[in-house]
Amino acid sequence: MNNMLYQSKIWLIENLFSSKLNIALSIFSIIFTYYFIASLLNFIFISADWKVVDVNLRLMLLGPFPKDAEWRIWASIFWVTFMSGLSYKHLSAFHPKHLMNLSPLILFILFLIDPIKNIIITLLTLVSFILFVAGYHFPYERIPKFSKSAFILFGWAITLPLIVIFLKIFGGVETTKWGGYFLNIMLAWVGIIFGFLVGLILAIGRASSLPAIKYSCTFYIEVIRAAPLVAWLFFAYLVIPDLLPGFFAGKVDIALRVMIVLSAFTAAYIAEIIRGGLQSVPIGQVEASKALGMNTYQTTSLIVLPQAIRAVIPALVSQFIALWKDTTLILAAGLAFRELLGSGKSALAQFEFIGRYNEIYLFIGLMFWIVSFGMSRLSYNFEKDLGLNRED
Amino acid sequence: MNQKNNVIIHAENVKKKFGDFYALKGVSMDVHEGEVVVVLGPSGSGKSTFIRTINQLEKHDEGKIIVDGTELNDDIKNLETIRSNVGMVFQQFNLFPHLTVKRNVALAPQKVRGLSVEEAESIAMPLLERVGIPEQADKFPAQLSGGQQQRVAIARALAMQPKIMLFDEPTSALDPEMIKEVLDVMKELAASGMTMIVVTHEMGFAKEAADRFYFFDEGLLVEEGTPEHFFTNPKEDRTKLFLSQIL
Repeated sequence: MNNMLYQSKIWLIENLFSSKLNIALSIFSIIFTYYFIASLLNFIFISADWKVVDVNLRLMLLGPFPKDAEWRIWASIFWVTFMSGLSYKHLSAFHPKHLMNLSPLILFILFLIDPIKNIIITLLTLVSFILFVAGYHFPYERIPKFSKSAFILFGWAITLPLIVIFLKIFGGVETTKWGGYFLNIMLAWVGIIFGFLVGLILAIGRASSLPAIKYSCTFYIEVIRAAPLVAWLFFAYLVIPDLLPGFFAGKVDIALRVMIVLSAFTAAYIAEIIRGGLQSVPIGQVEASKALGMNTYQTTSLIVLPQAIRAVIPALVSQFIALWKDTTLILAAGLAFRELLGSGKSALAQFEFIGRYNEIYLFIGLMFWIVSFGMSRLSYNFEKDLGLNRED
Repeated sequence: MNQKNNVIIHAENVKKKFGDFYALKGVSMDVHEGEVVVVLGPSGSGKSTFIRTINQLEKHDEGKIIVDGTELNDDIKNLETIRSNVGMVFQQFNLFPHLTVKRNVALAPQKVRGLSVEEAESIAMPLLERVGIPEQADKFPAQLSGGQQQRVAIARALAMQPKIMLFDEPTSALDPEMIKEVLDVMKELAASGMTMIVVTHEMGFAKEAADRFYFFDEGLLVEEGTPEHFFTNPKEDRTKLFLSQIL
């Protein structure tokens, strides 16, 4: 024990107090960190009044989503947690300790939402945890004709259509009734999936030797990148309805238009990221593949693209995280929607909660951080699984 | 000597231009089935370009190339089929870094020949044994030494059961102590009756395994003959100069 104390003393002296400058910097950082953490904790547990979050929780998470249709969202959550459990088992770089790291966060959310009062939410959350565990232990190997990765890939591929079905069957909920955090998640999810797919096609198209394909892809990318996202959201809101032929008018609702714009916007950036990856694959890889008799499609899909995408995973994830936060811009474009930030603002307009900015924005910040950080960790672990990330 | 066998590669007056520069100025060559041909020449002489026209990694601009009865021209629909019958080993190995050694070897039989994963891997494993590294099957290329990587590359080319093997300076990127292990595999392959065209400066290998020598300089085939001819009395001055430099 004495030895350990001695060791830590040595470590402190070597790392924090080795020179005059280091001593000054260390003391400054310690004081700064102390004041920051102390005032944050003081705010969270003493001076803050979380009633504004408590009362408006439903508004911020779901917006005007009809109460009797909430089962649609729970069904979606259950499917996603089940799939997460299933996938979790097969990303070997994951470790249960990562879940443990999340426990303070879960405790904090429980502190915010008061589990006794919101007993139904608590129970349903518990069910989703159970489904996560069920997914983890799901005997996929008993299902013939499917390898594990094919099974997981298939599961995630049908997730978005499945959620759309959950939201649309038996009457369904109009998209104008979507709102809050749920809307952010739906917009980002659709934007990431279609942005990635279209971006991939654009990147390959831009590398094509056929001038017509090459220049139309380049043109698309340059036009989209020439205007800010907010401008494109205005475009979706005001211009697209006039451009559509009469048959579609009124059928392409505003939610769909926003999703199209978010996907189209992201696709242009993704395309350039993937193009960078394509350029990083040595020409010898293509020659080796062709020399083995593989055709252009096989060479691209089996040899070039896997290497290109691996090389740009960090940049791709940055783009996805940027899109996730850009979903709040639909507020700036003055649309009929209220996503999380917009709902928070309307909560602040309520008479009894005027001035409760800190509570609302801290909560909103936390909700955005959870998904951003989750994506970052997921990609980090994914990279480690692929043997790309050697630092640890 | 296998001169009685059929001609499997027939090249006639092959020319190749890069911009205004003629890399090949009209090369003619016949390679018979089972023959081991060594191509010599200084760098920039067009020897690599020539063997790369045989599987059309470089398209020739003029002349005629017939590989295993099929003429290579712009009209051929089945370029992939011809390429799958001509294995190639590169100076820089060009293994697929995102796949394990076994997958590197099994990929083409599976995707081009349409075999199942199990069938393709049952082709891959004996080949890895043949090149002496079955224990590395589940590693990734970056975990192997240069010599091991090049042996995997040979196994990968052999997995398509090619009729012809092309070697483009297979030992030039290797550390000296790893050259022998690759040459041993190539010698074994030559002894098994494979038709081989080898661009190399390894005269020990050439002397031991080659049936014929071809000497290239400045895009032309300057001299050809048996190894004895080259080692005892080469005719051309350029050949003599080159041989005096590398021997």
